[in-house]
Amino acid sequence: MGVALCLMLFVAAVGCSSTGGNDGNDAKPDGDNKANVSNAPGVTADSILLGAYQPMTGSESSYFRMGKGADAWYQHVNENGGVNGRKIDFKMKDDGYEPARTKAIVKEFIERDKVFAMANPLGSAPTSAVIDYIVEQGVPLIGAGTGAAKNVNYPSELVWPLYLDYTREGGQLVEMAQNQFGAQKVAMIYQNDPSGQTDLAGAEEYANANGVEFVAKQGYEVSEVDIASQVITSQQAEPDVLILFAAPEHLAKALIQVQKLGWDVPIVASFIGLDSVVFDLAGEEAVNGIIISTIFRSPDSDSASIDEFRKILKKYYPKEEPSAIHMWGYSGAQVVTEALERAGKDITRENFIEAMGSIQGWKGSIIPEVNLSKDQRVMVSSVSWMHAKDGEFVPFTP
Amino acid sequence: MLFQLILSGLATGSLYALTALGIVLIFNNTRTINIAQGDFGMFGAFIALMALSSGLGFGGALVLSIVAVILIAVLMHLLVMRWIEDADWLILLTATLGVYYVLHGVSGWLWGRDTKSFPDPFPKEPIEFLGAMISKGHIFVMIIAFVIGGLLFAFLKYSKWGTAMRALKEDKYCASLMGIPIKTIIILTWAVGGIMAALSGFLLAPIIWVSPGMMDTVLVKGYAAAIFGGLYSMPGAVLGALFIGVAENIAGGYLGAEYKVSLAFVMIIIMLAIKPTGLFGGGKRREV
Repeated sequence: MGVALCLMLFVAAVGCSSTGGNDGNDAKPDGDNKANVSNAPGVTADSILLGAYQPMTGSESSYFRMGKGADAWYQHVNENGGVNGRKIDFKMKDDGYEPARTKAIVKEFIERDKVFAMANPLGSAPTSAVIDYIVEQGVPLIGAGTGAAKNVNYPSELVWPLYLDYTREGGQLVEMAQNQFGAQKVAMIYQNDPSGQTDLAGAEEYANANGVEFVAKQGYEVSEVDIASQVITSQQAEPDVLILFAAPEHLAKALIQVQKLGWDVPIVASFIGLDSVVFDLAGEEAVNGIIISTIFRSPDSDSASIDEFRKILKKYYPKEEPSAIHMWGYSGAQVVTEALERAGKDITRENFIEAMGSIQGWKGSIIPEVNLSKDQRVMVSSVSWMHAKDGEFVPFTP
Repeated sequence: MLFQLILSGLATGSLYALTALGIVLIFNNTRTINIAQGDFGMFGAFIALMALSSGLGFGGALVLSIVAVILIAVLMHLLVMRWIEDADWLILLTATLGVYYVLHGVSGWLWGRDTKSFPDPFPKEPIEFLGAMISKGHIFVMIIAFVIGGLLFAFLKYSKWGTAMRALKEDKYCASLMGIPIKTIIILTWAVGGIMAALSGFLLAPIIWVSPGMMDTVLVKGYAAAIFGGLYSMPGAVLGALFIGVAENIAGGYLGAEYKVSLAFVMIIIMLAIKPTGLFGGGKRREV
């Protein structure tokens, strides 16, 4: 038994790592010898290589829907002739939402595969770990699914985030709790990483400025089996409203725990947990009644562009039920192809970035209107609201 | 709040206990630290889920899942472990790590990698117990975990096969001289380990849901529990599991959530530093 201690540490290290598996989406080795008509890396006569890290496995794998949404759009574009005669070669690799793996993957993408840009990757902690390197290498980072302040407000024209800074969202969650439920005391359970910490900071800032008291702040780690103690501690603090900043799986766990405790409290949640899988996991009863922010219209809403989204996703990923997270990737991919189109046949990273900044008043995607410039590089800059009713999320007007 | 944290911690700890028991059982008779133990349960949960979605009831799904996991465990022994059974423990452990990755890969390939819900066979409503709330489902899981632990204990203590298994643990060669069919007993050990894994996967699935990585954290906690209890002791493994469940909840509740994951392990390291054989570990058993 003398080996017990080192054995335990070894096992802990092994058990904490996720699989090294892939879904067959890994990039091919750089064996492509087609003529490179453009000076830009990753661009050949008939293709443009884009790379994304996505959590294909692990406890955050429901976010891989983002990658599937982006891929569906790129496949659709390719089937219709590509962009300026070039096909989009969109490669995704699995980082399991583990920043250490993200680093290795991004290095491979940039140094070995020589991607033109990193497009539609996911995760605040993963992105925070690689954004400095990506920018140092002069590679554009477009439509990343992250709201960590460092990533969203990154001072480089190479970085074009998908959605707003979580600081702003955090404030809006407290504002909703205050306006809708008259909350004077709130508790918050958040994912303990750059995304959750940013959202919490924004929530506290708003609360302090507007006379709302924070009675409990409880972080959780993504590897936790349950988040019972966080919910129990929050309940003991007797808040008027419980705020949840949690990915779909953990949002479901928190809601189940609230139900188990028989705790009747209004809940306001962040859009990072907005996915129909929450109903599947937690059961309708536990979810009904919560108010949740959203950065897009509902995937069920009546509009031509959303209708097209549902059809395209179903065509390339028939097993997927369209969800908000698919739309993160899909919408970002639409903006990427628009900019590639505008950059023209002789594409370079420079004129691509120029083209990104020229997208003004554009209504060609599922985002109602995209207004980008070199000073305003966030694609979706405001949130709206939904609430859970009868087993689905429906639009909610405060 | 303390009692609520303890009660929730016991509920979570009982989930780790079944995995810990399977680990201890297999280690006792084969010297194998089975990293794939959690993934046996994961595979079983997927099979149960398939059975349920094809219209089978909970009972049928559980039986099918147990049979499938016994097959996987026995096959692992026959195809992999049997050929290296006299090797160093580290080689045995590494082989099980290989099986762990194979099971992860195959399950992802067969059933996809996203999290799938699993219907809950137990009612979800909370009931009040001494001022604290706990769901009926969790109480069932705790009771079942204890009943299974008790049955396993009785099997090892009183049945002929169980006695043979214990004899094997004491001295493999002496046992074989006494006419105990060692090969059969080892296969039986893997089969019973498989049953423990299947039950653990089935009971956990409605709570942590089903995905290839569902058992990763549970496995780590199960190992920590087994080591806490002395790695040879069944009651020690159960106590270790309950201790970890409670300690992490209390740490999370009073010190802050960021201590929740690490504190239980820090306490185990301290405990091992004081008593390296674990809580119930007896004299020296390590082979030379």
